[in-house]
Amino acid sequence: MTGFQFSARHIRCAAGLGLLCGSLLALPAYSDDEPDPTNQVGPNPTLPEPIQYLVPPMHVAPVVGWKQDEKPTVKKGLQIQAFAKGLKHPRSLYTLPNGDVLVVESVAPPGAAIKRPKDLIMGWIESMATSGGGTEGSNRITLLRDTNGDGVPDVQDVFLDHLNSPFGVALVGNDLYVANTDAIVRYPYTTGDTKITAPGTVLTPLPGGPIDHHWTKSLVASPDGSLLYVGVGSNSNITENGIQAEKDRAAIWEVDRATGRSRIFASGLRNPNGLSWEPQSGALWAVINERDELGPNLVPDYMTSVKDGAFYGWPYSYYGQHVDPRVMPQRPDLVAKAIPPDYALSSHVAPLGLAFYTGTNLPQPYRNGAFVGEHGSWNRKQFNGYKVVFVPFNGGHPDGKPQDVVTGFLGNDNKAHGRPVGLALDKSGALLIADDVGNTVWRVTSASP
Amino acid sequence: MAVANACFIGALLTDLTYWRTAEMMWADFSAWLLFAGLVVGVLWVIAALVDLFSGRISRARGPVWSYPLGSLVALVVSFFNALVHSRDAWTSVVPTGLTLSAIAVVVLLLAGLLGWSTGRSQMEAVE
Repeated sequence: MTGFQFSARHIRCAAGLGLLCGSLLALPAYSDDEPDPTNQVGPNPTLPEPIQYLVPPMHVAPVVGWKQDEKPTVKKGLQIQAFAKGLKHPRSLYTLPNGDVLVVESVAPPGAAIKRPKDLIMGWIESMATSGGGTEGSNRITLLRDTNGDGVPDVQDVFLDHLNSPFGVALVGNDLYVANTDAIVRYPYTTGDTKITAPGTVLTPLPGGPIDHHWTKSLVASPDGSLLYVGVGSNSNITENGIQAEKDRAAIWEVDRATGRSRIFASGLRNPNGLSWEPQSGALWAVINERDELGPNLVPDYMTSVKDGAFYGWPYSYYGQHVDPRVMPQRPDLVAKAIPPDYALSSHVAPLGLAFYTGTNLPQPYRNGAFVGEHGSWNRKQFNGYKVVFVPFNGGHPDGKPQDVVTGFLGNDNKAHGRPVGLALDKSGALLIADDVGNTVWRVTSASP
Repeated sequence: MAVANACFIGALLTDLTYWRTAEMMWADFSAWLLFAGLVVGVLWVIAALVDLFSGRISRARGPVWSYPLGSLVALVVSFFNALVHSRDAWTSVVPTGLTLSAIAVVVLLLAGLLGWSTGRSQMEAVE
C-alpha cells in the first residue's frame, strides 16, 4: 500500500469532478431505445461508445419450461423432436463412435463467498434465470442409445455419476476424458459400455474454486489424439475479484495427453466454450462470451479461430485495442498485442455451444458451416440470443450472416421455455441441442428425408 | 446518524486507499460501508420523522438543523454513490465514486462546523 499524497490540487480536482458527475447522474438508469443489435454480426461489428450505469440494463426471462407437445420452432426444411426429456440441467453433448450420445448434466459449483453487496443481488437475479426445476441429482452424465435411429432412445441410463460440475467430454481410444470444473479426469471406456463404475484418474488439475465465476470447461482432443484443448473462463466479469483470481484463466489450455503437462495455448478469451475443429482448415475454433455492463450493445460475443500464442484482449481491451476503463493497472503492452476475433455474434447472446456440420442428414445449405447455441441475454432490455443460429462457411472462413435455425425458446410472452447450450451431431447427422432449463435434448433433422 | 456518517467517512478512506493501490479489497470495503451506512441512515430518517411528528423534538428554526440536514444530504449522495460502487473494478470508485464519497464527507464537515460555530447541539439528544 502506498502512502497518501492528497494535496490541495487533488481536492480542487475532486470538486471539479463533482460538478461533472452531477451531470452524469442525471442520465437515466437505462434507455428503452436500445439500438438494433443485428448489425453487430460478422467480421466488423459496430461498436458504440461504452456506457457506465448507475443501474445497468437487466432483463431476465423467467423460466416456465415446456408443456407437453410444446417445442422450439425450426426453419423451413427442418423438423425438431425431443430426443430425451426429464433430464437434470443438460449443458453439453458428446457422440461416441458407436452412436451413443452422452448428455452432460451439470450445475454451477456451490456459490462463491459474498464479497460485496452486489453479489447478493446478482445471485438472486441469476437464480431466476436458471430455475428450471430441481437440479438435485445433476452433475452426472446420461447415456442415450437409439439403436434403430428413429429419434427415440432405447436406452436412457446414468453413465457416470457424482461429478464436479462437468462440461467437456472427449474420447481418445479407450480413454474417456471428462472436464470437471476443477480437473480433467480420465476414465476407462470400452465400446458399448452403458455405465462407467471405475474411479477416474486426474490428468491435469484446472482452475476451479473458490470463486469459479465461469465454471464450464469445454474440451476437445486434437485429431491425432496426442493433445487436449480445454477452455478456462475468467473468474469475474472484468477483474472485480482482483487480478490475482485470474491466474491461468480466460484462456485455452493445451494439455499433453501422455503426461498431463499443460501450457496456455491462447489467452485473453473471457469465457471460451464450444471448442471445435473447423473441418476445411483444420483450425481450432471457439465461441466466446465477452464482458458485460458497458451497455446493451457492448461487447459483442464472438466466434473465432484460435491462434497459437495469440492474445485476444481480456481483460485489458476488447475487439483488438478498445481499452476497457474498468481495469487497473492497465497494460498498454498487452493491449498492443491484442488481436480482434474473426466473427461477431452480437452483444450478450451468450454463445455456449458450437458444432461444425459434417453430416449429410440436413439439407444442402447446412453442409458447410457452424451451428451456434446462444443461451440468451440478461444485460440488455430487449432479449438477444435464446436461439440456435447457423453461420455459413466457405474455404474455412465464415461467409455470410448468421441465420436463425432453431427459435421459440423464448415465448411471445417473453418467458423462457428453454435455453440452448451445447450442440453436437449424432451418428446420423442430426443436430442435437442441450436445453438446460428445459431439461430436454432436442434433435433437428431434415423435414423430407 | 453518527454511525451512518462514520460509515461514509470510512468509505472515503477506503476509496482513497483503492485509488492509490488498485487493490479490489478496498473497493469492496467501500461498498459494504456505503451499504451499512444506508441501512442505518434510513432507520435514522424513520426514527427522526417519528420524533418530529410525535413532537418529541421541537421544530426549532435556524442552524440547529444544519447537522441533520447535512446528514440527510450525505445520505442521498451516498445512495447514488452505492450504485456507482456496484460497478465492476476501477470505475466503481475512480473517479465518480471517490468524488461522491468526498462530497458526502465535505457536506458532513460543513454541517458539523456550522452547527458547532453557533453553539447549538440539542439535536444530539435524539440520536
